[in-house]
Amino acid sequence: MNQPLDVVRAALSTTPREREYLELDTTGWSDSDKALACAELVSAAKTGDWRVPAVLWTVLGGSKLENTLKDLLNAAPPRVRVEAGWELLRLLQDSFKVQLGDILRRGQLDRHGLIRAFDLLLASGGEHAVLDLIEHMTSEDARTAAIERLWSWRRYDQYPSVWWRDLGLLKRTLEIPNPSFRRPALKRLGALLQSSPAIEGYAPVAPQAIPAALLAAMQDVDKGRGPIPEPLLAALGEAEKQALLIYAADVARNRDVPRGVLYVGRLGGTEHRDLLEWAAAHRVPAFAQAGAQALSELD
Amino acid sequence: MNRDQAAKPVTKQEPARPSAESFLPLQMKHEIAEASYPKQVQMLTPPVPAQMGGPAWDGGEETTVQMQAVQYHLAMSGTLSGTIPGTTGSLSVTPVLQPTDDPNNFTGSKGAYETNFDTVKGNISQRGGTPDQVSNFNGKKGVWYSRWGVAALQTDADAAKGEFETIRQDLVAIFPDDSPSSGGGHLYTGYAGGGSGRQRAEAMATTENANPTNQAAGLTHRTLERTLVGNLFDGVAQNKRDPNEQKLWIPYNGSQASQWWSQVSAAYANTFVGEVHAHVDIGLPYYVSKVGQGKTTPERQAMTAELQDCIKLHPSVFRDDELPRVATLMGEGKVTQLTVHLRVECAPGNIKTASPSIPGTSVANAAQLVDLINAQVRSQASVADILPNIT
Repeated sequence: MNQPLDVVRAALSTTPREREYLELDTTGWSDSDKALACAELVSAAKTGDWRVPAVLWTVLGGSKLENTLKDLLNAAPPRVRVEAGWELLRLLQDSFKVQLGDILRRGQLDRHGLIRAFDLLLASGGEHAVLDLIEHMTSEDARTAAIERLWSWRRYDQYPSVWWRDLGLLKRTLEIPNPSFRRPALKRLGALLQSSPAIEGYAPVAPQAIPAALLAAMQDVDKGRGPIPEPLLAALGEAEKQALLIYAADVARNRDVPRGVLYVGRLGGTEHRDLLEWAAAHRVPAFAQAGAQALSELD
Repeated sequence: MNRDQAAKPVTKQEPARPSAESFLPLQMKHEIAEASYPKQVQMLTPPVPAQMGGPAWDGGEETTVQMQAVQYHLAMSGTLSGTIPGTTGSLSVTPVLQPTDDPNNFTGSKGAYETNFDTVKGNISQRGGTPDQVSNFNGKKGVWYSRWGVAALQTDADAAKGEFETIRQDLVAIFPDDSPSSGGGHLYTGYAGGGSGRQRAEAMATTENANPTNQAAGLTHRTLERTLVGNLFDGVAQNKRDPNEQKLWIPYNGSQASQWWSQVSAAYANTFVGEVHAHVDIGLPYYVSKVGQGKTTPERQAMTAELQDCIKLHPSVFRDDELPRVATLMGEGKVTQLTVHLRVECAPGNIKTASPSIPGTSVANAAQLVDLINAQVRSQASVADILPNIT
């Protein structure tokens, strides 16, 4: 059986053209075996073997691994420094995922804290971790923040858009925490992340005024009284009705506007029953009343 | 904390929380996901976490509502999946507060709350509140403090959010008119050169409210802390340097108090109409000090790109929490313009001021708004202005 040091030396004797990475089976190695192997590996790194940083994980752990990688980053041939940097990034990513993942999944931070945490994950290359969290979080507030930062990270907010159409409307829909709105929107976001706004069919939209009919209907959502005026709805095209539905749901959920619930019932029907049920169970009487009314109109 | 310490928590191992997820077999999760909301609540109700099922602060009604809120969060997560590979692990949490902490023992906080409460009561009367409204408000004095304090001290952030939201809604239900007039909304951020955005925001609101023309028209300017809901808990949680003094106060850091401010500031920003005033103080010497730490003075002075990147609106509650809401309102045409009252401290003694206005029509989202503000900041300060900070 080969001695550990022989195994290491055999691996190091190959060139990167023969073997792109080093692989060591350290099963059965004692701590002293690993220490000897580490010394040999670090020595090779300092003479230029840039495959070494990636294999140090098998012989080192914890702060020793981190410190060794930092040493290589600071004082090794350039190519080795690059690889040491990548391994340090992996270390950091794992550390962030472990330390922040559970907190974020449950939304254990205020909004600014959530945003900082998601920015940290994204800045350290943790886009997949953020996507995991979006899928599995139990806090809708945290999910909202995650979506927002991912959106910003991908620079979708630099894409020409207005809130009532195309990409802007998708973003607005994602901000509504009820599953009937958010789930299908998340599917569209998933497709977008694999592609681009243009390929997904979101036309760039230059800044422009909100269509007058839509604006009038929005004002009725905010300030209206009594039954929903049918002429207002009749003046809207299908796309505008969809925008009004999203607006009404958003202001109901995020801005304390009970009348938005009535509009969701009228425009969304049974598809968005969850929002109506949320309102019917609300502690504020105006919401409970609106929810009950909208539900009764569905049944 | 290094990785070794993280692996061996020396402070407090976060207990496995009795979340609904951990109790549910897969089949039941699917059933819940497909069920109606009332059914979801019913299905998720039995395993009440001990911490949540504690004292019935106000006859038990709020506790039930809070539970529903938490359960609803869980139900809305869809699949209610459990562990995320690579994102869970042992957490080490510093036990700043004990679950047994009674908010009534924090006499500094309680005293501040009581003073605030009397101020808010006076404001309700002054704003035309009816005797019934004042009476309803008065009846909540002890209840709200207890509920707020318990939420800040003894719960996690999600549970605190639910509790705080019910308090805010209670207050709004008693006296709904708490928003600034059109053009009277003020936000603030930052501290520079011995002054703060908050001081300037409050001074301007005071001046505008004393203006006879505004008084005659019934126009009011408000900062968050001058709304009823904001005033009520202003300064109730504080961080004190003296440990003995800190014992008298519910801490801001280390408790859930920041959740309250996150929620009420969002609700406040949502009420803006017309012109919004943002009082923005930026102290650049602090940010410049962080550029090129460990390098020589000439090396730091040569880091032009990094120095240029200092000259901007840095991450803050204002930028990340409130501005996105203003941007949304601009896109809807409700906020017609944002006037940024800038005060940029380039270097000690070199403070530049300007009050540019950004029209609502030019903004579609928060990122664009931040870009426009940054352009204004950069029109005030240059790399040459901030170089004196590097000596």
